[in-house]
Amino acid sequence: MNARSARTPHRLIALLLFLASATLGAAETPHLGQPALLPITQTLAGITLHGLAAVPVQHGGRYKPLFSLAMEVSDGIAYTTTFGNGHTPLTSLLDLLFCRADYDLLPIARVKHTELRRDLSLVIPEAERKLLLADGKITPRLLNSPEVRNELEKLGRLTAKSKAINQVQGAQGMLDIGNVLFQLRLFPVPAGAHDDRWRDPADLGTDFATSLTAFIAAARASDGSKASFADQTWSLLPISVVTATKLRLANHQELTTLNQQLLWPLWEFAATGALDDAAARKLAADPTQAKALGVPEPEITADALANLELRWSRLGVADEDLADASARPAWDAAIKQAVIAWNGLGHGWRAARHGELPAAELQPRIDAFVAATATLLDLHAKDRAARGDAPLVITTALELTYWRWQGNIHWVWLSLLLAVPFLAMGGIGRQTWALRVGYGLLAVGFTGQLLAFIVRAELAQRVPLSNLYESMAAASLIATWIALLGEAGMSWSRRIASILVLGLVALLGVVLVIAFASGWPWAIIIPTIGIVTGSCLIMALANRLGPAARGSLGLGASLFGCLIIFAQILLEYHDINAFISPAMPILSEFWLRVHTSCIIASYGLIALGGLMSLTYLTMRIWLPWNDPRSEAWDRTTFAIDTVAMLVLWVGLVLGAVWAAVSWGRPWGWDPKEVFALLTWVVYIGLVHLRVAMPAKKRGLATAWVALAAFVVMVFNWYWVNVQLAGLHSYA
Amino acid sequence: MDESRPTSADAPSTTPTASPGRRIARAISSPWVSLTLLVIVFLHQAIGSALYTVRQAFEVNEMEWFNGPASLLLWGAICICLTTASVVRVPWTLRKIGTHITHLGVILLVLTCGIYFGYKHEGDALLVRRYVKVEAEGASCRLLPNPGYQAALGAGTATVQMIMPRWTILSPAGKSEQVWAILVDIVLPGTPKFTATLIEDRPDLTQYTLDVRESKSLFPEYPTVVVTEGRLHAVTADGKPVLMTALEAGAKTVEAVAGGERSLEVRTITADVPLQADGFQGRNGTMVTWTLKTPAGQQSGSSIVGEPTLTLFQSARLKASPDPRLKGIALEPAPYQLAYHKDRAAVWVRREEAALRRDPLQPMRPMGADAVVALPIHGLPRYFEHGEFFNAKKPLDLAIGTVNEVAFRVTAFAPYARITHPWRDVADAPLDPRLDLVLTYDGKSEPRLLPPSSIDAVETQPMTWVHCPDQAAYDAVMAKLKARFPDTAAPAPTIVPEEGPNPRLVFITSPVITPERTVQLWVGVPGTKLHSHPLVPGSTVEVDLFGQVLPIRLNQILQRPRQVTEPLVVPSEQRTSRMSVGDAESLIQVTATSGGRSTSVWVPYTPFPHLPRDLGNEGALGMYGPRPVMIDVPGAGRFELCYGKEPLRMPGEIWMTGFDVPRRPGSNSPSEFFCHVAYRKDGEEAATPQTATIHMNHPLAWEDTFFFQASWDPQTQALTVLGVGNRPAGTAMLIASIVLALGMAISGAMAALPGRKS
Repeated sequence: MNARSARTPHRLIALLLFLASATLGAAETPHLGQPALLPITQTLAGITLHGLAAVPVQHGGRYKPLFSLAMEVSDGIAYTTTFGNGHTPLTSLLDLLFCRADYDLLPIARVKHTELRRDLSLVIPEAERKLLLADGKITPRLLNSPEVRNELEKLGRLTAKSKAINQVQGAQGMLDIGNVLFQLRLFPVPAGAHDDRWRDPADLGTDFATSLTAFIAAARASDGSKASFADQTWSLLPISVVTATKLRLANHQELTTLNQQLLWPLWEFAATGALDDAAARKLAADPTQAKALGVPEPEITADALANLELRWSRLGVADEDLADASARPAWDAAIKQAVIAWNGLGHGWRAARHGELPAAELQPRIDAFVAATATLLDLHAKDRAARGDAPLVITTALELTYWRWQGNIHWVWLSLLLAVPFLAMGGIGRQTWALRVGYGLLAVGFTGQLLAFIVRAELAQRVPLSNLYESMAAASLIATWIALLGEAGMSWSRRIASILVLGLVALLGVVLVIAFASGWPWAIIIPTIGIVTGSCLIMALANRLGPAARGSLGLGASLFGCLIIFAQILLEYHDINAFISPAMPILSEFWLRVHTSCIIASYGLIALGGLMSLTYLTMRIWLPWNDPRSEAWDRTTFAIDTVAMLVLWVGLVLGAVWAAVSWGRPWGWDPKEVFALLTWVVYIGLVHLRVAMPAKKRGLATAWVALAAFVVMVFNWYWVNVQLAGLHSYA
Repeated sequence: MDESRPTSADAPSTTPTASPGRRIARAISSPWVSLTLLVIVFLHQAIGSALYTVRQAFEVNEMEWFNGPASLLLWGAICICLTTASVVRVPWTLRKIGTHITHLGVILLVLTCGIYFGYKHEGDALLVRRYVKVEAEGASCRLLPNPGYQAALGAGTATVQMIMPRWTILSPAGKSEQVWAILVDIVLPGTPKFTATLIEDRPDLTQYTLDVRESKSLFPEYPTVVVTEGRLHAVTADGKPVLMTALEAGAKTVEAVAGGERSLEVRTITADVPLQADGFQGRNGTMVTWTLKTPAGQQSGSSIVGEPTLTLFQSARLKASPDPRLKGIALEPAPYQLAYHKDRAAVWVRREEAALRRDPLQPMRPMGADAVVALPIHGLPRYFEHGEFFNAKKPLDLAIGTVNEVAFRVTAFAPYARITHPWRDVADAPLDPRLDLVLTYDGKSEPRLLPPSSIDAVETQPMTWVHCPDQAAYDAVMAKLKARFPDTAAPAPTIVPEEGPNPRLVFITSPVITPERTVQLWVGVPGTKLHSHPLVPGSTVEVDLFGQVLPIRLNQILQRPRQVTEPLVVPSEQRTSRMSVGDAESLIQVTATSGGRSTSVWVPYTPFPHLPRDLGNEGALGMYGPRPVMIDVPGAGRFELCYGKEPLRMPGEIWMTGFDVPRRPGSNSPSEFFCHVAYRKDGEEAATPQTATIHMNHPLAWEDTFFFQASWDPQTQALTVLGVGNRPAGTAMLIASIVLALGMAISGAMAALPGRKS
């Protein structure tokens, strides 16, 4: 890579993609003559991407590591966070950015909706139909074909499959490098008093004249072939996909046309040596002189060049955007360095992936880019300080740790899974040592979940209760907490339990006094009261129930935790999206902490009750109804059901109050509201059934109805969210 | 629940000596009855919510399903059951007090919910941020803030050109600010069009821009700018040269004057410019472009060195109107007293004259005005005559009211339907044969209704259903297309221009009915020859187009065509669970009768019938805009009909004073949005209005009415929709809910009381 090419980083991608398109034809597609991509494991050998993964990027209204964005991009295309075959999210993104054409015929994209797969299979070649129908996989070329696009548009008009169609169109968008680059706001460059947007690679381009001069110089140094046009200039061309987006070119066809009709002839002409350095500079400075310089018309019209220059002038970094004018030289140097580093990374990655560059030579390029962005970030922090703005909170290292932790969540799952037999042995078999081991494992699982919850709250800068993934994790956490508290309450004497409860209540009183004196917000005071009183209630209730049912709560909680983590892993990035994003505007922090936390606590309790009922039903296979263990188990389950019913009701009422202030009415028969109410109705039924049933059938009846309540709750939690349109789509 | 005691089911239910009344009471209060009712409630609600296709089969929306007779019956039965159980079955002991309180809570909640749902009013109020008041000599108009909205201004017009919700300006204090601005194009007879830029709350920053090419200056105090003695300068009204500036690009002279400063800046200097003015053709000159700034504004222009008469004044930005006939233009608050009920349908009727002369603000107070009448529709049925369900053929005839001695009735109702305007053969229509064609390209079908021609009077016409992005190129081709077929049965095949600038254009001749009474089409693309294709009704020809097949289908030949308005029922697979009867996808048929003669018309639903018709298709207001239908009533004139909702009176006037959308870092994603409003009660016009900010989770409570932030227009931020409603028995519902929670808590506590078991 020469220095001139490095000045034009934002042209990294475009041409290969478009030259690979059908408009030029496969025979002329330069990339087809290049070596195939190496296995990613081979490329990764000897290099480390940790620094690159942690580079902050401004995306989706927050600052996240590049790794997080990479996961989201891959998920948008492949419905999983990598392209597979040993790829990491980051390598998938890098391949997409720098080796997009190599993936054109690989089935990396996925169609999630099975009905939509059937619809689309009717318009694609038979050879690819089987793969689409079986696994939803489809090649980018086919996904972007007119047949598929037309079919999607037709289906959008005729059917109510908008959600599924949006997913596929999202994948189409992600496969458009212009879109991906547009989201790649890696460069913290000030944008003025009213715009805090970071810059993407295309924003940092040099001026039109420099770009065009470099382009002509590269052409003169080449043999003028189309292969050289593609090979040597793909980062030099003055116009790329992303630039086209910014320049408001109508579509890719127009871009392709521009590239082919204007730039290729210019390349060919310049390669003949007809434009010397002075002429190139003159043309770049004033495109209207094209004819005077002997540039062949009509292939390269002065108007087209002038028009390109006009559009080009809209790009760049404005002087007035800098808070401190004296920092301008430092900014210029840092931006230039970032441009060179980005271009070097792109060239290097592409070459390394094709086996043309040893991995060891790639590492310095990666490090240079990481260093360049760090320099920009440092300058940006100084610029903010000069403006009097607060420094940005960027926690990319913590976020990477979080994702690493999430990648190892199966260890938490394993500890919860291992707790199940021990707790069963301890609870039903009355083995105290097994109980201890079981609760120890449960405590380990709880700690893991709690850490993840706290870190996520820190990363998201809000209570993590605003989507399905977060609510599932929180419900499991709450159920485990209740089980641990309940176990403690059951095993302690009444005196110790009373002292603890009274102590907690007294502590709460002191905290409240401090809170009111210090003016703590209600968003903290109310959940604090809820957590402490709820914990006291659970402990007191468990203490009343006595030790006969020890292990029952832990068993239910560990089963629930296993189920939740299993579902999160199984459905990860499908319907259960783990990505961290800002909450929707309607989700106020206060009501998330007050209403949502209450509802999720009730979900945890309902799940606990339901799964305890399941263990009770299993137990009843060999134990009679009047066995003390059965009776204790039944009584404990019913106690949890009663608390669940109460907490669910409180959550419903708080939700109604929120709805009244947010939507103007307390109750609107939204599906989420209706099924939450119906879950409560099932519990009311449970209470009445318990009254109506004779003693020996009471336990079984309770267990079955509690299970039914659990099923209705799960239906409301998952199915209503995913399948039924409503006002709680975020829940 | 007291687990240590025998349950009521375990105990003998009645004694042989119990009275029949007591037996009935015990039967009603049985837990099994409660359980049965709960199961029915569960099924009823689950079906209404999750199985919405079943609910929609009954043609009811969620509110109607859940608040309908079946629900009332069920909840009433539950109340009776609980009351009876508390009286005759559950012991009145301390241990059971929780159960009684729970029962009381449920009963109170059902009753208060009954009051709430029975007396609640919910509606929507559309507030626009400002309207533009324009006053000219002898004329005035008001413009709603919607791009493309145009109003007559005497013999001229005023048009909203653009709205810039976050326009960055340099304030007089020298700081950059983001403001909400609206650009209005003013056209007055005899003067060039100019644009007024109005900024919210900053009338002092109003400016006027215009593009002219005149030799007359817009600044009377500086009639011209010329180059003499190698320097550029302006000339004052008394002929004095001022602002002497060197002839160098970028040179600028600044002088202090009363009211600020004036300056003259040389922008470019171009030598050897061919002169175009009369008497100067064939000569070249040196052109200097410049910008002259004064306290009154700035204008740009050009001067020719040595030719003072050739000075041209071009674009200008002025602080005062360039046309003195424009007396005033300003942004004014737009107060509203009106919202629309969510659940009560109405037909809005206006006489055509009233509809035509209405002011866009006046309809906002329609209830006192005689120009518009809202006729409530009571008893709109839950079936429709085009449906596949029961009652499908039951006739509908609802009298809704009389306006100007014309009786209006609703004679059909089509929920889940959209309005269409197909052509039909109508017996009383004049004879005017047309060919009903459908052309398909790129997966899109477009109907065409073409007049057939005789073989000797046919012209080629371009079919524009194929996307043509370059309008100029399209127009250029159009201009060439005046060639006609020769007067022979075999048209010459060279009619299409050889070199079309856009190869995607397709040309088709007018369909020709040949002497043999068959229909023939000639089809071609630029640079190709025309090909003829015979067509018979019901058949399709397939034309090869760049390797793709272009199907052309002749549906029918209409002898006496007339465009009619008909509902097109939305297929069930396209309906969503939230689609409600009486919402956007519905139509009613209104029949107007006068003097024994009736006429009917289909009217589509529109959410805000007060909006003027001519909002155009741009902007969010255009989206909300009404879809009125005109109806000719024999002997009674023309009426404009809108099918919407009943008006909901608010406590007074409320108007928007601002709107804010804070964004998340580096994105367009809003972190929240809120509007600023002012409001004043009726009859207190002299009082200072109160102000409030309505956030998403912070409504405004005004008397017994709540206003909450419902939706807004992200493009222009020129409007907001506020949800409006009361909450009858809201506090009572909350108390009942708390009583219920208390009862459950006490029951739970009592259940734990029996003591520790080991």
